[in-house]
Amino acid sequence: MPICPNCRVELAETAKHCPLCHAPVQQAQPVQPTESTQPPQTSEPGPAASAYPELAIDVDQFERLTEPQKRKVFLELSAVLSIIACLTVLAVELLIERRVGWSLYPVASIAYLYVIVAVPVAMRGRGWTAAWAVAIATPLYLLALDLFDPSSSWFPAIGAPIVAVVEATVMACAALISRMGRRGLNAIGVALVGASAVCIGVEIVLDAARGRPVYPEWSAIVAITCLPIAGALAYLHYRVMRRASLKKLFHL
Amino acid sequence: MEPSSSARGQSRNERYSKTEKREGEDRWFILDNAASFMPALTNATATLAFRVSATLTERIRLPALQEAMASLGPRFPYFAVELRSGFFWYYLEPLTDRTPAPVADSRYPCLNMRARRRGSLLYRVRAYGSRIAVEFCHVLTDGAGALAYLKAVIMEYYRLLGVETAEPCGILRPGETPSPEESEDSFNKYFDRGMPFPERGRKAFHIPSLPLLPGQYRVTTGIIPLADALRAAREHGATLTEFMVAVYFASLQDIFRALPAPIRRGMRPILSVEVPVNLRRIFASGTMRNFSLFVLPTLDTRLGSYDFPEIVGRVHHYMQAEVHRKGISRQIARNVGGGRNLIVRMLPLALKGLAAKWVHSHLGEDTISGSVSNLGPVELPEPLASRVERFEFIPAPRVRCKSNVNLVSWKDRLYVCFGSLASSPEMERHFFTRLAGMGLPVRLESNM
Ligand SMILES: [Zn+2]
Repeated sequence: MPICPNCRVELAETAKHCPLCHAPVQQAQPVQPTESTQPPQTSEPGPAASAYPELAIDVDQFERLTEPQKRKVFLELSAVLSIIACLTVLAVELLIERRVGWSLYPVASIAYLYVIVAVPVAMRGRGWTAAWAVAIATPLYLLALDLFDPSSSWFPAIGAPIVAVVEATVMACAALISRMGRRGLNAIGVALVGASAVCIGVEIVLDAARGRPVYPEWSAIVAITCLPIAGALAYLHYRVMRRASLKKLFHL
Repeated sequence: MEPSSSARGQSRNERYSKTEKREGEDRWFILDNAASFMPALTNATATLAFRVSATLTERIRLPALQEAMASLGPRFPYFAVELRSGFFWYYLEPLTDRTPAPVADSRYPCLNMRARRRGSLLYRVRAYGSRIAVEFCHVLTDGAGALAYLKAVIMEYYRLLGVETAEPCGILRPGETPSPEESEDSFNKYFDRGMPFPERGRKAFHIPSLPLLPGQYRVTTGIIPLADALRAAREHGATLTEFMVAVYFASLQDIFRALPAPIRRGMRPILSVEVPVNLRRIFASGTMRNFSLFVLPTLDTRLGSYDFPEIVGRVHHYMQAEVHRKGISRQIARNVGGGRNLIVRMLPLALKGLAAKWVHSHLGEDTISGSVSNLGPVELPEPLASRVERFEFIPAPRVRCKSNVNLVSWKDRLYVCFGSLASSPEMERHFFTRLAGMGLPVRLESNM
C-alpha cells in the first residue's frame, strides 16, 4: 500500500494523491517489510522526533482555490463579461439604427483587450508564447479597425510596418536583456538603443508612406542623443560599477 | 418547598434540557448552558479546541478510517452541525449533506478551527502515522464527549479491518438510533432554583512570558509510569489529580518567587488553578454535550512560601470540600440562572457577545493562573485495548492563561500533556523537574 510521505498513513492502492495533505503519491515506493512482519512495539513508542508532522497545516488551506483554479475562474468570468459587453453594444446599435457599424469598434477593442489580458494569464510561466500571441493580436486588431471603415486604408502602408518595427524591436530588446547575466545599467542601455531603432523605423515608414525620400531627420537626433548615453551606461556597468544590479542601485 | 412548585421546576428543567428543536421538517440544536457564550470568544488561536488522541500499534489505514467516520456520521447528528447566529442566541444547524472525513494533522494541534465560519464543522479527526486525533471545539462537547466519539471511531475502524468487539461494551456504534439523552443539556436538568451563587474568584497571577508567534502552539507530553505516579500521590495522601494540581501550584510558586522583587510586586499575588470536574461522575447523565464545571483552588503568596507537602494538603482538603453535589449545584445555579435571566435572554446576540467577552476576561481568565484537567483512566475492551498504544489529551490553547496541563492514563502509563502559548517553556521545565526530583521517571516529547 502506498504511504503518504507527510501524513505517514497508508493510502488506498489506487490513490494518486493523499486525501489529507494532497501530496502526490510515489507508487514505486515499496512498503518496508519490517513494518508488517515484526510484532508491534508495545514497550517503546515511536521516537520523539516523529510525534508531530514537520509542517504546520491549516486544513482550511486545502479548501481555498489553487492558483490554476483561480486563473480558470478569472478567464471564465472575464470571457463571460466580455461577451455580454459585446452583445449589448451590438444590440443597442441594431435596435436604434437597424444596422451594424460603429459598434464593431468597441467589439474589436473588447476582443483585443481580452486577448492581451487573458493570454498572459492563461500562459503563465510561458512568457514568450504569450508575447507571440500578443504580437500577432495587435496587427490583427489594427487591421480590423482599418477594414471597418471602407473609405480609407492606412493599415498596409503605415499600421502594419510600424507594428512590425515596434514589436520586432521590443522582442529583440527583451531577448537581449533576458540573456544578460546581471541586469543593471546595461539593460537601460539596451532599451535606449531599442528606442532609437523604433524612432528611425517609424520615420522611415512614414516617409515611405507619404512618398517622400527616405531620410531620417528627427529620429537621427533621438539616436544621436541616446546612443552615446547607452555607450556610457555600458561602460559604467561593465567597467566602473562592476556589474551592480538595478536592485542594488535603486534599493528595489 | 411545596411539592407542586418543585414538580413544576422539574418539568421546566426537562423542557430546558432538550437541545434538539424541531419545527415541521426543520431541525436544529441549541447550545448547552456551558457553551452558550463560547462562540463569541473564539478566534484562530483561541479556538477552544482541545484534542484527545489515540496512537494505535500499527500505521493508520486511511480508507478504513474514512469509511469509519462516514458510517459514524449519522450516529452523532448533534456533532454534524455548523454554528449560526440567531437574533438572541447562537444555534447549531445540521450539515446533513456533509460526510465527515479525516483531515491532515499539523505540527501545531488545536489551532485554526474557525468555529464561526459557515460550513465548517466544530470537530475534526486528524490522522498522522499511527495516531488518530479528534479535536473538538468546546461549543460541542467536553473531554468525556470527545473520548466517547474517539472510542467509537477506533472500534468501527478496527471492525472494518476485521477486528470484531463483543456487543455490550459501552461504546457507541453506527446504525444505532441516537438516544435523546445524548444531546441533552444536563446543566439545565440539574438546575436547582433555590441555590445561592458561589463566591467570585479573585484576580490571579499570570505567568509573565512573551507569547509564541501566531500559528504556533507548543505541546509537551511527559510520560510517567502510572504506578509510580499513584504511589507518589498516595505518599502525600492525595489523589492523582490533587497531586498534579499541587505540582502545578509549586511550579507557579517557583516562577513567582524567582521573579525580581520589583516585578513581583507588580504582579497579582494569588495563584489559582482551574480544575475541571466531569459532572457525569456526580450526576447521572449520558450526555455527549458539555457537562463539566471547574473548581478553583487558590494559594495566597502574601501569606508566605509554601513547601510541597503543605500545598498538597491544601489542595487535597479544598478538593474534598468542594467537589460534591452541593458545591457543584451552586455553580450550576449561577450559570443556568444567568442564562434563564430575562434581561440576559432579551439582549441581542452582538451585545451578548460583548458581555460574554467582558465576563470571560474579568471573571474567567482574570481569576485563573492555569488549569489542570484529568480525563482519568481510559478503558477499552479487548481486542481493542491491545491495539492501542497510548492516549493523549491536549488542552485548548488559551491566550491569558498560557500554559495548561491535561492528564490521561492508559494501561500502565500516565500522559501529562502541556499545551502552551508562552514562548518560554519554564512552566513545563519547573513542573517536570519537580516530578523527576521526586524520583518519578519522566520521558518528554514535544513538537517544538
Ligand atoms: Zn498526506
